[in-house]
Amino acid sequence: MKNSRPLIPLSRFMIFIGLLLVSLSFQRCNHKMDEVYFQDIQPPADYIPFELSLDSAGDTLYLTEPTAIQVNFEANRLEIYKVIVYLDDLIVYDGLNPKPNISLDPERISPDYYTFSVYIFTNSATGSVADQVGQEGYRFEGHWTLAIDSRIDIHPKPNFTINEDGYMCIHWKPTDHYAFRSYTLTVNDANSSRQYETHHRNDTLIIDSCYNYGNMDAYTMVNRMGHQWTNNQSSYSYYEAAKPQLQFQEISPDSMIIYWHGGVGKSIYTLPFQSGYYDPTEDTFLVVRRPPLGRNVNYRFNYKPKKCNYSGNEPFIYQSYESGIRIAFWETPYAFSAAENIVYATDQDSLFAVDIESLQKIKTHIIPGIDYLGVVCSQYNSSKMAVLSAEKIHLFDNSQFTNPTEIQNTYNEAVLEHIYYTTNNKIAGARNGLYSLYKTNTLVRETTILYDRYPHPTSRNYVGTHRDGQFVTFALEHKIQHYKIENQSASLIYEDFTTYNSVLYSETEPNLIYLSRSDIPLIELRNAIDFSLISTINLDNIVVIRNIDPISGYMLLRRIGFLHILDLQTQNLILTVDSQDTRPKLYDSKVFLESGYCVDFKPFLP
Amino acid sequence: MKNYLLIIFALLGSQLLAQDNYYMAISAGYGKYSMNEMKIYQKQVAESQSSAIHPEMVVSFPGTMNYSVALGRQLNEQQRIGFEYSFQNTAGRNSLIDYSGDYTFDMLLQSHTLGVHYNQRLEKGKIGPLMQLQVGYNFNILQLKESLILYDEQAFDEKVIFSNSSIFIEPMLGVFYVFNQYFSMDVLFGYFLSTKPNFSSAGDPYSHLVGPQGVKVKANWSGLRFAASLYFKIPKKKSKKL
Repeated sequence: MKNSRPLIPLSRFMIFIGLLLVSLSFQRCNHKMDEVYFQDIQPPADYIPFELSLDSAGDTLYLTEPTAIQVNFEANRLEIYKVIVYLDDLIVYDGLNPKPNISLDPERISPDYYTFSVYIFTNSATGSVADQVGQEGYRFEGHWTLAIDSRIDIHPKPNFTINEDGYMCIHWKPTDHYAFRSYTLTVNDANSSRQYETHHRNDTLIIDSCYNYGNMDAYTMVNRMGHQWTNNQSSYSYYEAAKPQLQFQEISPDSMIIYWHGGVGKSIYTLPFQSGYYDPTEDTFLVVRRPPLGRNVNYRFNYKPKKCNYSGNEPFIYQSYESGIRIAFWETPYAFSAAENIVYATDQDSLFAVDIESLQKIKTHIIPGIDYLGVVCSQYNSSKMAVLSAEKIHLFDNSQFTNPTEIQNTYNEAVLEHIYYTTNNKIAGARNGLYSLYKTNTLVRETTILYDRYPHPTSRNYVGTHRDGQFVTFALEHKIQHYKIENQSASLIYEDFTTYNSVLYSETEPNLIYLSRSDIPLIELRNAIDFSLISTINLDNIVVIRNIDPISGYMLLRRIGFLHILDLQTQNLILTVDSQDTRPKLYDSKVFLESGYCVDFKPFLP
Repeated sequence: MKNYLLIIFALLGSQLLAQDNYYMAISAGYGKYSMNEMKIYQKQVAESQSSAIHPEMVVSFPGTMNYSVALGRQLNEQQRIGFEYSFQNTAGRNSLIDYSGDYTFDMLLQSHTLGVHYNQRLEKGKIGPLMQLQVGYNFNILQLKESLILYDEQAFDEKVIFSNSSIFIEPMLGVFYVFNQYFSMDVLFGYFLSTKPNFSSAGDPYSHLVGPQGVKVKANWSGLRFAASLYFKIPKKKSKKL
């Protein structure tokens, strides 16, 4: 019994354990699941084509005003997981839109270059496990440089310098604008308006070879990307310089130098003359033929920049040159008082005295009725002079023009074809075939001579009166008449039919008559007493005798288009100049022209 | 809970086996199950739009072998009554494998059954027909295991367990064969009829497992059963001779 008692609890325990183990072993019999689903697909390609772009963007985007940047992304069949857009490190978009529109306001962003980055994450579209859980896909990214700058007041002021080659250099400080596209330099001067454009930020120097003279203004514009024009005001700079000024220097009786100051850069100068142009030159002077005496020539002087290609008109100036010194207006008669070294001349209604040295007017006297083509005369070796108005002959003792003596002008004309103040105080006048002698102290006409009318009275000295009023000679168109005046009556003492065109009595040798032939180039010297031929002077051309300079003794001759000065001592022409003047006079080696000009030839005469 | 069932069964069995005319039986069989709700749940999980992965259903709660052990008393030559512990299981699997990774969603369903069976041989002899009726209690366990391996690295691995309880009745018919006075065998065919309560999460009986489309997830073990049982009669204790 003692041995059996433990068996029961032991067997129950063993059964319990056995049953428990058997039951537990059942749980090892779970359904075995070896089945899996394997999908045979290929991994995604390393690269697939896509398009990631920005609207209207090149390599660099330029933002100068509030702008919406449109991102465009195309990649077929791919699902977007995320789109992130950065401006440098700043996230400006984080979402799912594959085409986000990013608005940026440059005024709220410091001017600078930025990197605009777009990252787009997608699936791989393979359908793989990793693809389905978002652990396999593509990352697309695009990066653009973004220049952001809203500044508009950015135009640098140009400066001017002249470079070593002498050309105008216009330069300015480079802009720091981040949307810089180009500079436009506009230059305006009297010649043209021109523009230059440079496209590099540091290309801030323009050599303006089109500028050479005058005032100029210039301004720059900084053109910004995305803007066709820049509207805000630019800063002008001004360069002030003179236009060329012609200077004239007579170097001979018939030539002169025209010179001017050189301009900026190189220029080509042209100067026209009556029938063409002088050869263009780069020098700053030209030797030209002197214009006819007494002319006011208006030169058009072209000064074209040498290296300029603009198509505008050549720049030019007009500058006048007066061939002589103007002392009267027009159709001026002259008389010379050796006693006072005064030249008398007239304008309409006025008589004036000019100093022979300075050629300045020293006295003017108003006489109504003095006309153009009037006449004036002075007495030899005296200060007395006379001038004609339409009604009277006005006699003055000197150039002060005080207390005149007035004689009735029986011609009733202010214009005579001959007038002479004799040393015996008579006034000789001739017009339209009537020669008269007025006694100045009695104020009456005491002698008259009738002669044949001369067809060209104003251009010829066809009447000559003896210095002392004793003879008068008419060199008429087809004959010569020589009168002796004695006791207020005139008697013809010589006449022939030789043709002369001028006659002149010497004042220093009163009985010496100079006669110019109109048929041959010859001047005859005759004796006033018997009209005998003393000698002749042969010339190359037929001339008209104008006068003998009381100071130099030279004789002034005229022919059509020219004036000659004849040295009576050597009987040589010592000067020939162009002139169309018909009634010139030679006083103190100065030619006083009917046009009102005086030309001093003293430097060119022996 | 299943461990409690096993312990209870083992304690009862150990007490019975210590008496005379008791037997022990071991059975193995095959059962088919009515797991429509589970299959729907499995399909919804696989096709859920809210799920990132859409795997294929490779195993969907098939019929499986089940096992039991019984202890009882032989009332007479034709009648037996006893306790029986059964273990039955089935499973579902959603799977997707490719070059990039391995996704597996396993739904392991187990049932631990503790019942009382009554076995009636309809004839005497070495072989003959019989009938059996068993009623009892099911303790069901649903284990959801989700695993994701991406490029050979474990990205996700989670296991969740749900459970519920049900009662069942299992009528069966069959034949018996007696090998000798200690061993016999029954071959049975019947139907297992079970209730199908909702699964709730372990530790929270009020939280129910709901599918992606709001369908409550239930396990229904009802279905045909085939079983073969081997009986071993425990010998009587020898009487103490006076």
